[in-house]
Amino acid sequence: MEAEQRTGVLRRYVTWITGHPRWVVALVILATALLATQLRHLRFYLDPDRTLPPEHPLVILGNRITEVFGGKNVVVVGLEVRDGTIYDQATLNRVKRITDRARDIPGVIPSNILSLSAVNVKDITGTEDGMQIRRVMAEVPGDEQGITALRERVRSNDLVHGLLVSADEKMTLVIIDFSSTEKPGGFAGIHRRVSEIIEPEQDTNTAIHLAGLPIQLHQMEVYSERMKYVFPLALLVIALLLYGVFRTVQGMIIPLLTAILSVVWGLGIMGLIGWALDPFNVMTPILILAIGAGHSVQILKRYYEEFHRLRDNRAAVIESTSRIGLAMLTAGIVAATGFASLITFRVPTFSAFGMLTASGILSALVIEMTFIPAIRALLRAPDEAHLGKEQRTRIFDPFLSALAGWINGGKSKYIVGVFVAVVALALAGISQLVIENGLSTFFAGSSRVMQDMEAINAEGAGAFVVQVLVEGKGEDALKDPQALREMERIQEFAASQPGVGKVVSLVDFMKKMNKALNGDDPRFEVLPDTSELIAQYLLLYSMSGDPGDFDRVVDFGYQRSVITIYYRYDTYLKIKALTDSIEGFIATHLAGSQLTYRVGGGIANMLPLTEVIIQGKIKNILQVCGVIFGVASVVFLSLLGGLLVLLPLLIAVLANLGLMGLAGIEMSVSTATITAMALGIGADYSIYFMFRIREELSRGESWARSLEISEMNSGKAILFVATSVALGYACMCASGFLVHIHLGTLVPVTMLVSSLGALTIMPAILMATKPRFLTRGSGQRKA
Amino acid sequence: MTATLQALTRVLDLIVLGLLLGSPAARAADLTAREIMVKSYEVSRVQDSTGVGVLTLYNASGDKRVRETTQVGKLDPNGRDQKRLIRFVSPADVKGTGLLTVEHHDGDDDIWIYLPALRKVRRIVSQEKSNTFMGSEFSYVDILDPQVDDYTHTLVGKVALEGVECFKIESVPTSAAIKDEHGYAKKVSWIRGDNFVASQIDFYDKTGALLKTQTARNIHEVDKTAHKWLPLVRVMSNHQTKRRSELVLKDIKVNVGVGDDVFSTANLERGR
Repeated sequence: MEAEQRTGVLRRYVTWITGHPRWVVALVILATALLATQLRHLRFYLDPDRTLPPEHPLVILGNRITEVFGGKNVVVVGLEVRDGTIYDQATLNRVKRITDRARDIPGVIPSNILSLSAVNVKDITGTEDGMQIRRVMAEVPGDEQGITALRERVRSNDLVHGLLVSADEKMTLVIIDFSSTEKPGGFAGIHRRVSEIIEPEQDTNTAIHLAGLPIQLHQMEVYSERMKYVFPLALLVIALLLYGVFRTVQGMIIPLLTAILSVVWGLGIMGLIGWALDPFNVMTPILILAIGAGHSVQILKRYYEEFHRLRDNRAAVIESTSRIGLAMLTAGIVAATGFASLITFRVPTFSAFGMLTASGILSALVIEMTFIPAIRALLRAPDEAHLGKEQRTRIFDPFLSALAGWINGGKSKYIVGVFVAVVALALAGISQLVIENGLSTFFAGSSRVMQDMEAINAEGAGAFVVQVLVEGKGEDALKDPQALREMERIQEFAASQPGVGKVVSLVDFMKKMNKALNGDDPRFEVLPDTSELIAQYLLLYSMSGDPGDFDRVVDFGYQRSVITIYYRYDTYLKIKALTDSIEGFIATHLAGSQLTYRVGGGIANMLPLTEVIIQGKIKNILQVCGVIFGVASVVFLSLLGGLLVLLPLLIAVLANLGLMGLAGIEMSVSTATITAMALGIGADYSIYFMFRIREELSRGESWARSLEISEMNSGKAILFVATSVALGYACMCASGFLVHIHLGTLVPVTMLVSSLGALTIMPAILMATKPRFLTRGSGQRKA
Repeated sequence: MTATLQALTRVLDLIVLGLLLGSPAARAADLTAREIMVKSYEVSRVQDSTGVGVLTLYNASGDKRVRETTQVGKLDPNGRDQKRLIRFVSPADVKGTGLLTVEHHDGDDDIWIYLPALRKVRRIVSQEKSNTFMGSEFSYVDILDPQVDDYTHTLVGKVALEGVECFKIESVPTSAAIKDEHGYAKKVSWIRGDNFVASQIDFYDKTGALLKTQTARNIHEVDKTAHKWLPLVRVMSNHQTKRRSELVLKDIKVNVGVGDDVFSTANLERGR
């Protein structure tokens, strides 16, 4: 009777709503308009930094290296000639023009520009009585003789040959480093400004390639924008499928209306409270849409059921909303509490995900309890023809009634068997799961961005940078010959690693100076052996270029320096392999060092990003599961109740991870995000199902009959929404962007598996245990 | 009302200028921009000088590197090129390092370096007119004032700077070659009305953006007979890189008759 009392309150409430439908609709429209205006304040950003916890050691290291030495936002421009070599006037002039114009791009660190004609790219050579320091190419040589001399200079300068000019002399690089991404106008601004410079320089003999992290992040933005076209397409398909299952216009429009309004409200709330969204959270509306539609379809399905029985529009609205309302509020609040608990995460991307999902779910509840009953009270009741169409037996009915028959007929063991097999398959899949992450893994091999990257990696030193920060205990620590010898060993080791194209550090400059000041004698191409000589070389070097030139190599106190490694890969496992091997080398061979060496910076910033997001998402999943289990156990006053609510969620996550493992989809930042979203899908199924069984039991129905009614109604609604939304999302594969393809496969499969779990194993357990929490207060005897 | 105030301010300016400049004021008031710049050029032009220079470099985060040197300089009879011998006193590990530079306005400069740890004089060939003076924000062009007629000067007005009436003069390079060589599209100088020393100079880069500001302090009459004035403290702040360099001169003596033999590689190698 407790339940009846609660529905009594709801009934009075819905009666009031349907008595003032115009007011309610007007108020909801007003609230929607107000929240829609808040969308203006909604901020999006694509900045990996802001996604990371600032106190993460690798983040601190990355920022420190960037602050002192730059190297974080490196764009590599590769000029490749088809015929001949780069040593012709036209190509060299292109290099000079690109270099000169790059200096004027806002946010560029002028002293970090590297190219044949860059101010800081110097040639240090010995002469008979001294040393010559000059730019490799201050002016483009005017004749063949000059060009030949330039080529000889470059060939004998291993800081240039192999880094800025490829071994086959068909490619030359211009490396541009940005201190800030804001000044040039974000990654799109960097891409646009660099493109403006290089486009006029391309011709039939010259291909210009563009690579580096900012270029990839820009491409990511471009692909993400495809969502603008794919998402509406998915909505259209969902609408058509809803029409297919309900066969009424209401059935098509109302669930989508709730879903879309929930998304607008959820995003509006984010704008209102000023929380920003990052690329990982941009996918969250897809989850809210599925959840919102799920609730709506449950009530709508019940409305048709009640209308069929009562033949009175308002009475059907009141009956359906008050009957199902309790289940919906319970399910919604349980799920929203689970997601809202993510606010406790300090990493903004996770707390924003929790906040947005919770806001979206609560919005769906409010809309379903106000706007939808009000508008349905205003709409004309379905006529007999429509009702007939809706009530007609369709593909799901035989299946659902067969299911109920199996469970009631003692065939649950087969369901359990299938379930165990599915779980085993999923676990087998999970054992195959590999963590991998890298922007290039998201792009098709045929895309321009990948072809450019491959061209630069094939011919050049590498499109990415990893740095080793060398830090001494006090000022002048790097003037110690031992310190430089250690750096040299690390440099030599790093250079021997696969994928490393070039390694550059202070050591190279010291050796070059030593050789040059000793009459270019190759025997002197070694590190100086006294700290005085090192100090004096450093002084000489500091006076030979721009003040910023020297600072690229060593800091003001001669305490910190950086070893720059040019690397060909941008993916997690490859970067991790490199950093692990270098760290291993340091731990083994330089254990007693006076200096500290830390590998990070540049593309290595991908490591904390990957680890934090993936570990964080796993923690998210555990926390949401824990909270949902806890809240559901309290609601049903039963641990079994909590477990049964959790079951479809766990199935969803298992199915998602298992499918990834079986299909060879790697655990990346994007797929981990999708896995966490899978949680929201299926969170409601059990609650609706159990509330319906409880309702039927309280009417005095038997367990068997209650199960059958629940399968045929609540179960059917679950299948309606799961199939329409799943197939709608499958359209996202059309985008061609791997992140969208993952969404378009993982979300539908997860939805289908999870809904089938809610209709099979969950009721099988219910029937086997006949838990007391469903019969409490109903007077129903165990049958 | 505004016009009256402006007129009044101008009159007051002139009176203040007159008081400050004393009798030369009457003449100064009639000077053209070029004449002011010539006076400014000449007032700090000395035949030779000796002294201690402390160069402090600051990076954007305020960390500093201090280098103390002794310096001897002598002007070439052509009035344009300078010979300079710089010897490092500190930091300790570079003590004794010497640098001998002989400028050639029409060609590459000659630079010799003596590194005590190498115990050898080595000739350094640098094709550029070195952009930076000893790794500081000062360029060689800034340290040694460029020829007056390399620029076209316009008198913008007279303004008080830190209580001293100054001529505000805008200078633009006369040719693209000079613009390229010096790296400036424009300079704005505040030339003191009393001693014609540039109290402040704003440098604009080739794109026309404000690049650096040099301020002069402790302006001292280093030669009371020839009326030569030098700022003992010069600070150059780079607005774009947020770096700053400070050059402090001590024990400066000018026109003391420095011999040419000081500027020899043999003397450089002798060290100290």
